[in-house]
Amino acid sequence: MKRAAAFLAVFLAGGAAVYLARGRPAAGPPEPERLFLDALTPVYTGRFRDAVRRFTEIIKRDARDPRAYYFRGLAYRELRALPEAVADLTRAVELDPALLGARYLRALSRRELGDTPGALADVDALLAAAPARAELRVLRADLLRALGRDREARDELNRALADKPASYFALVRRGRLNATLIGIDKGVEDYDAAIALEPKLAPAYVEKAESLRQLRRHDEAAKAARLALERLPGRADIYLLESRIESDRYRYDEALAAATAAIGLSSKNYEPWQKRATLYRSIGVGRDDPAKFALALLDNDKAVELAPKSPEVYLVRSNTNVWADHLDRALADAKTALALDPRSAEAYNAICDVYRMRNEFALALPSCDKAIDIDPYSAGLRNTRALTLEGLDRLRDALKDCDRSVAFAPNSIEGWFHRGHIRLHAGLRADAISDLRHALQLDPRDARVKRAMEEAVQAAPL
Amino acid sequence: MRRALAALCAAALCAAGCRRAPPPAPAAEAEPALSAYARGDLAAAEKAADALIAKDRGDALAFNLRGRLKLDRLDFEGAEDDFSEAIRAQPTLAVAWYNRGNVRIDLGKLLEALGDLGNAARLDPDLEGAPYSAGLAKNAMGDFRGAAEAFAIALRVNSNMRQAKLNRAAALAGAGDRETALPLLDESLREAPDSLGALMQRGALREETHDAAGAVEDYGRAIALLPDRPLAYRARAEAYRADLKLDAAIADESQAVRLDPTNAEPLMDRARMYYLTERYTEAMGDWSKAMKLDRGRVPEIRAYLDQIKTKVHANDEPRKKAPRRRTK
Repeated sequence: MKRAAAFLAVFLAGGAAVYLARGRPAAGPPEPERLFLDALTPVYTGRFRDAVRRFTEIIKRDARDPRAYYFRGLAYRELRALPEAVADLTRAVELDPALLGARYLRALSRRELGDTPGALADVDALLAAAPARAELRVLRADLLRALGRDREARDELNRALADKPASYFALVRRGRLNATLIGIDKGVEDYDAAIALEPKLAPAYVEKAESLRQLRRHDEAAKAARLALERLPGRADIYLLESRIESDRYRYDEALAAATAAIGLSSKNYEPWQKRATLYRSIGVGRDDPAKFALALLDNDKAVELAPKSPEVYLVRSNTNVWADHLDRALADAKTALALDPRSAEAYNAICDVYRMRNEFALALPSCDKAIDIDPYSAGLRNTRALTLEGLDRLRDALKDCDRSVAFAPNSIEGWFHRGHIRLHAGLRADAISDLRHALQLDPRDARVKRAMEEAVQAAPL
Repeated sequence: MRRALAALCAAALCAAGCRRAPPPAPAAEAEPALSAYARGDLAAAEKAADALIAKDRGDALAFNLRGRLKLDRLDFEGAEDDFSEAIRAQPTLAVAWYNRGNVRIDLGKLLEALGDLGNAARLDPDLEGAPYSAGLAKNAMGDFRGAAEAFAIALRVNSNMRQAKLNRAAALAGAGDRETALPLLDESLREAPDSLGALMQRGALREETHDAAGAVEDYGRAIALLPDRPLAYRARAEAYRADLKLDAAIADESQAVRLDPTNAEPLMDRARMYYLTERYTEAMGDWSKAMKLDRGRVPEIRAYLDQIKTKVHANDEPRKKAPRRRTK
């Protein structure tokens, strides 16, 4: 307060001295104008609380001056008192609709307060009244995107980038929209352009890694994820993404390291525990290392503890229990998942799997049928039923499910492996070898596939 | 207490220690520019500021004022240049760093903005907006933990900063800390029940934490605010589905289809729910439209159609064997 008073005194004294020196009348501006100038000075010198106080006095004297509301609104905004800022800026715009600055500040404030439609209305008014600046277009695109108007958002970004092509965040945002609306590769083009502009920033690398993973360009995806993590080492979700990329290409050690890092950063979140459990289980199965099942179950238990209402955590634990040969526990988990979501295809599939492992194929089959009835477009469900049908010696039907599995998920080892195995059982040795070869191309270290291949090669041709 | 917190925010924003800058010296010569600005005559104000700058290129406040004026006519780059000149002329002028930091956020230059906001906070811990703005920049750069911390500092400085709660919740959710994010959103919505952003955000978090009924409630309130857009209808449909209320979900997807008939997604989702409730004719109608909009959906649709054929065939089998009834 003392500082403000001293500051004002110096200001007034300095001002008076200059006026006197210039031969102007010593009286200075009339009182209302003087007060306004005294209130405005702290705005431009960064003393925003002082400015609010002074403009409040001015508004008490004259409640119809739009500039007073504007400047107090501006000061409130700089203090980040946004509800007060919005109220003042609204009054300012009502009194003088041509105040562009007021509309812009209100748009920003409304957006930050979650009033997306209000913010969009302000930006629309600005674009109608003022030169269409690229920054306004980017802001509008963000608001449209938040309202689910993706195509309009992309059109707006196209316009913004036509005006100002070297805009990192506009490129990243358009990349996301293009990836959804046109194709993932179009998104990658924008991410690459953004990276070329600003290689120090992480968001384009994160998006690129996810997109390349979907395009199954795993080496590039892994590299992009690594570069993102170098820039944002505290992001558990990027470690999880890296873990997924590595497990997609069956590099389990790397995937495990990334999942463990994600747990270290976000231990209250069930997803990284679940991911690591799945990896331990996959290593147990694919690398012939049953000791890993116990580790998987520890992580499964943690995931269940953290998300007890999620059917998914019980299903993943059920699957580990199947491999660990704890079939009663596996069945109990599958039933819990089904109680949580009675239309869960995965829960029926898990029940089928337990009965199948008990060699009770006839009991298993109705649950598998039910699972596929609920979700006919799932490779995993087809695999389970194929194995069940194989157990019932219905090899032709089993192979039909295998064909579907391979068609639905050609990049998953499971469909190729199971079809190869069942074809071998059916005496179709050459076809079996072809399938197993395909599976080995996907993961050359998978112990199950290697064994099946040896068996197929050694089998006498029919 | 407030000063201690402000110091804390400065320390968090910049590596260097805190050193409070002296308040800027007022320039009496600026009065004509300020007078014009006060009258709303931006052109005259800018002209007067030009004159001040022409007279003394070391007048940091004049540059700062002209930058502010340029912001008023949405000339972001011009404003950035002037704030840079102000900083060059007087590197201890906190408000110029603060203004440049904020305009750089508008310009999408977030890394540079962070540096400016750090300097502003170091020079003048009373600039309360600096940690909040830094939080916005960090959030946009994907540094969710850093953003959450910056918003927490902003809230320690000013616990009434409503948007800091909302943005901190978003940052925490981004960092995977849903447990801390949810109460912040509860508080935000108590203060401002009509915040669409807060409602959508809490709805999504409730869904992620398997509170489907809570998510349905939030999206319902969002629909009341935004009845003519498919966004909240689609979100509520998903929450209804998770809450095992398929008819309600179908009704919401129908609204989404009506509002956005060229999007294959709501059609596919509704078709799946029609399928699950054995309304195959309706499902096939939706698939037929979705296929025209997105050919990539064909394999998935074919799998469902094959399944329907299998079921219909299975149902027909016993009928074929049953004796025909005589009709009168």
